[in-house]
Amino acid sequence: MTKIVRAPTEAKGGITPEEAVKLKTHADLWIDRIMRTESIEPSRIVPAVERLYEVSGLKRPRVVVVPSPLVANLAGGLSAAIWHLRKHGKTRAATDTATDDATDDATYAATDDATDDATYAATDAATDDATYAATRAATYAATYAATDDATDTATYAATDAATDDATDAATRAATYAATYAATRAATDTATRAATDTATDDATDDATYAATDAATRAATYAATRAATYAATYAATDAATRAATYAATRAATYAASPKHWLRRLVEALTPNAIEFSLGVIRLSWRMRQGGNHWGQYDSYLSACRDVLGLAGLGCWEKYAAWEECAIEGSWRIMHEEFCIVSDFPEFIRVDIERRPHCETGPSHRWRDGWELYHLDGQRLEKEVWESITSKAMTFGEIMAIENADIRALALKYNPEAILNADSKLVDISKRGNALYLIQDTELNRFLEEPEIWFLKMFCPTGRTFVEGVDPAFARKNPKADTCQARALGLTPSQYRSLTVEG
Amino acid sequence: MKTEEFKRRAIRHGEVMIIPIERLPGNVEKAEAGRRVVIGHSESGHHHVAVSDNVDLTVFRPVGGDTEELYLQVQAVARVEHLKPFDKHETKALQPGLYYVNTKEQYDYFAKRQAKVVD
Repeated sequence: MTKIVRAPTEAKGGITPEEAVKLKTHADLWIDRIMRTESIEPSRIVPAVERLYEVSGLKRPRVVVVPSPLVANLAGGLSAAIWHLRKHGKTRAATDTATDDATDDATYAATDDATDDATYAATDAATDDATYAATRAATYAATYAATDDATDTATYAATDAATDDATDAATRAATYAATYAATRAATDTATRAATDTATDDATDDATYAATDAATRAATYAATRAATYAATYAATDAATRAATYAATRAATYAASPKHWLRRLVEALTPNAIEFSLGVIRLSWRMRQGGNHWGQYDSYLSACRDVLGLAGLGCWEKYAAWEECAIEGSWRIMHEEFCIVSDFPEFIRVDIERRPHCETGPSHRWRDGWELYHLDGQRLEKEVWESITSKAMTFGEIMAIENADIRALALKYNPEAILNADSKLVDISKRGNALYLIQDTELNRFLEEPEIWFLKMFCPTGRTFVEGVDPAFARKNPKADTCQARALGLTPSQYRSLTVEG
Repeated sequence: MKTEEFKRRAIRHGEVMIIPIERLPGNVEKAEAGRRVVIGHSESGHHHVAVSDNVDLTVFRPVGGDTEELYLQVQAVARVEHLKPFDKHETKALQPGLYYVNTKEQYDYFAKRQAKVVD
């Protein structure tokens, strides 16, 4: 057995049983820190961030605490754009280079290099393979397994999605508004002139004809009918158009989807697209704080459990570590650091995957929410449909993403039965071929026959997939249809033994 | 290919089917080489990845083709991993040899056509 060596700058030979116990306790400490839901304390995070900048050789930043990672991303991106415009003016605003400058990932690199990366390099050099592997498994891997699904991945994806949603909406609004402004003058004026002329002509003609007719016939009814009809015809379209335009403008102005664009317009009126571009790239300035704590679980274990206290990295690392304990996601910029509060709650299932069937899985104190089932992130509308447990088979089959479709099937198990599907064939491998005929779904899809395969996945989930009706009609065997879907011949499929 | 050889090397990894072949077709060109190559793309980032510890893996694609069709050359025992933290397909050993990598298809009744399974 390799001899276990412990010194302030060296750890070799694996880990002892006592250390294994301590590492478990250490990992649990970091799991608690990562899953924290108590409010952030500005009096602790602000000096921690200032120290992080200081040990990285950067000037003291303005530190702002915000309620959610979404706000951090949006505010961070917009602030970076404003700082860039102040320093460089708007002449370069439209270029990618300016966007790169404005997002300033150099600050991220500087702080990371000076603290986290440096500590990793130092601890890596001080441990041998056996000690490294055992410590990392007991800390990083254990912490990661217990928290990552619920924090890092979820938050990362959600922030990305939310930022994209916000900027996409804003970009759409921007392009719509720009196109509208550019074309309105040309089309509106021309249309108005043509309409005016036509209206004038029609009104004149109609009034003349009506008046003439009325005069001639001297009938009140004719005069009224003619004038009313003509006036109505001439004014209704215009009134309707005006009402429509006013309603659209009011709806546009009131729409919550465009609040970000309105904010960008107000703060950077001459560089709107540039600012939206910087917001979109704000992830480049992002550090995870406590939600990246898996790594800190490992690094600090080298110091606190293995005893590598003599390495030269710890003083600088302490600033990084403190930020990982006292704050969540942050946006790093040479002029400012925007730090997010911790979530108000995180709900997970027994496997510690983000999950909640009765509401959001995550919520921050500003109301930003994420929805998950079995670890799968869902838009709120999709989550609502699935958890209603009232989805029809047609609705489930319309879901494009196979994982989400499987989830919908799991939560709506009656859908297949309610679709009046008939089991045509079931194989020893568990593949089942179904046929639906003469139902509302057939009429809706204009398909007299709807064939589908129901199968079990080695991950434990059930999937349903459509089968080409022309093929299934000629080959009504579940395994034959499955083989074709996989691109195999039936005999190859029979030979297939490795399935994961 | 003999049944035993197929049985030894073929892998179904979720919607990704890794089919052993004896030789590359003539109309392919080298597209990528590395120790980690994506062989099954996922829109949600849950890619299926071929990983080799010591020797580069080589990906070939049809010349001028804008398709997902992919061929893989494995020179030393490698593995196929699923980049997903949950509901994860098991890591499987990938034996040396040539492969055609196919993504499973299904019939989309809404679009009235065969379509690749996406996740």
